[in-house]
Amino acid sequence: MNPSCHKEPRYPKGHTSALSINLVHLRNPWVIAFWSAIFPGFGHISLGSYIHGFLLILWELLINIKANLNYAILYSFTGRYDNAIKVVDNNWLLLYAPVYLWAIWSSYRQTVDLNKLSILADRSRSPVSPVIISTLEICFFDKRTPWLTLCWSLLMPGIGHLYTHRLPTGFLVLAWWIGICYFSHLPQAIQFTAIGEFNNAITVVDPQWLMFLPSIYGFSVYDSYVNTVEYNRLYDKEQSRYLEDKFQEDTFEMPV
Amino acid sequence: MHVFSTFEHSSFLELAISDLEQKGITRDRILAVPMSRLGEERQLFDTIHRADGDSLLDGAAMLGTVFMLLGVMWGFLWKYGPILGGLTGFALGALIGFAVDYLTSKKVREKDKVKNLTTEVILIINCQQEEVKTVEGVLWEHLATSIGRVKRSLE
Repeated sequence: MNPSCHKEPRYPKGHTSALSINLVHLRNPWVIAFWSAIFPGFGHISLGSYIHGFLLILWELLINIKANLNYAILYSFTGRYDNAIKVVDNNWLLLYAPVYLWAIWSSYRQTVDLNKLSILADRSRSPVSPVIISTLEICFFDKRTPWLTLCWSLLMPGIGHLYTHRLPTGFLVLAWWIGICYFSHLPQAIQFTAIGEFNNAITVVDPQWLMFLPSIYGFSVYDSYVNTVEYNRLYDKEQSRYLEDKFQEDTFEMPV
Repeated sequence: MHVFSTFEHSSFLELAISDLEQKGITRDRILAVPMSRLGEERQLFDTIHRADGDSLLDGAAMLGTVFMLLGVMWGFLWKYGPILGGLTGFALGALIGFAVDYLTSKKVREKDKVKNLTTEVILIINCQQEEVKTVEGVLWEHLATSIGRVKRSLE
């Protein structure tokens, strides 16, 4: 499986490294903006912009915990408005808005621009290496079943990404998920719920941490599924170019 | 004598070609034509804002996440607690999101049905009469979706 071409492209379609295949493909900017709104950093991570994503996630984690934001949201949505006002730490909360809005705006804008670059890369038949073997990892193009990714992600967020070999997202999500499960006491709450002791389930969980769970769960399912489909398409494209370059000789004797 | 075959994109296709080359079919006797799908180029413009190919999951994942969060929060006030609240919210949101996407994308999917062919690559091998058996064997072994040749020239 040689790369379909060796020239450096002006608009690269993607980059294969030992840790993952990063590629540009068409996306709905509103969907990316939605994930940034659900948890700042997720939009950028979905795009493959990891440094942006990791730093935004760290910041969100810090300020959310320090400002007691999840408590404030919880109290507001359950009608306990006085508690909501009391619980927040304004010294932190006022810093929240600018970065939050910037994360949404930036990921939206970046998606719009990357969509244009993606079209240009497709038209210029920009090549990508299908296999990278390095000292510590092996990464290669493969056809994968989207529904299988979905099932792995539903079982345990992060595993679906590992299946598609998107290791930075996979290990981040997995570590994040394990950490939140531990701090929110989710496993204990699940056990209490399973045996019908609902009051114990309510008292054992830490709401501040539990409220981080839905965002990471939904995101991991969505993102790993989209990656699987796009990697499959990339496989087809790369193989097409290889075949067209190598097995369409002028000297082939046509049947008619 | 030409042997025609159709394939889907996979590593088997490249293994098949490599096997044929090993068995003495030179490269100038192999023609591979990847088939592009009807209207793919046009689709780029039609669907630039929703072209990850799986819009059916967009709504399900997004609404599922939002409803799950609401379910967790309201679950604290519910006698069954936040876990069942969250799970109920997730199921409900995902179902509604999927239904909305399903209904709104019906037209697109019907258009796609026509394009949903299994032929992705056509592979034509120019070989001698006595090589046909070997060539066809290699093609079948590597999961060709169909194989054919002009029968008339056998006589």
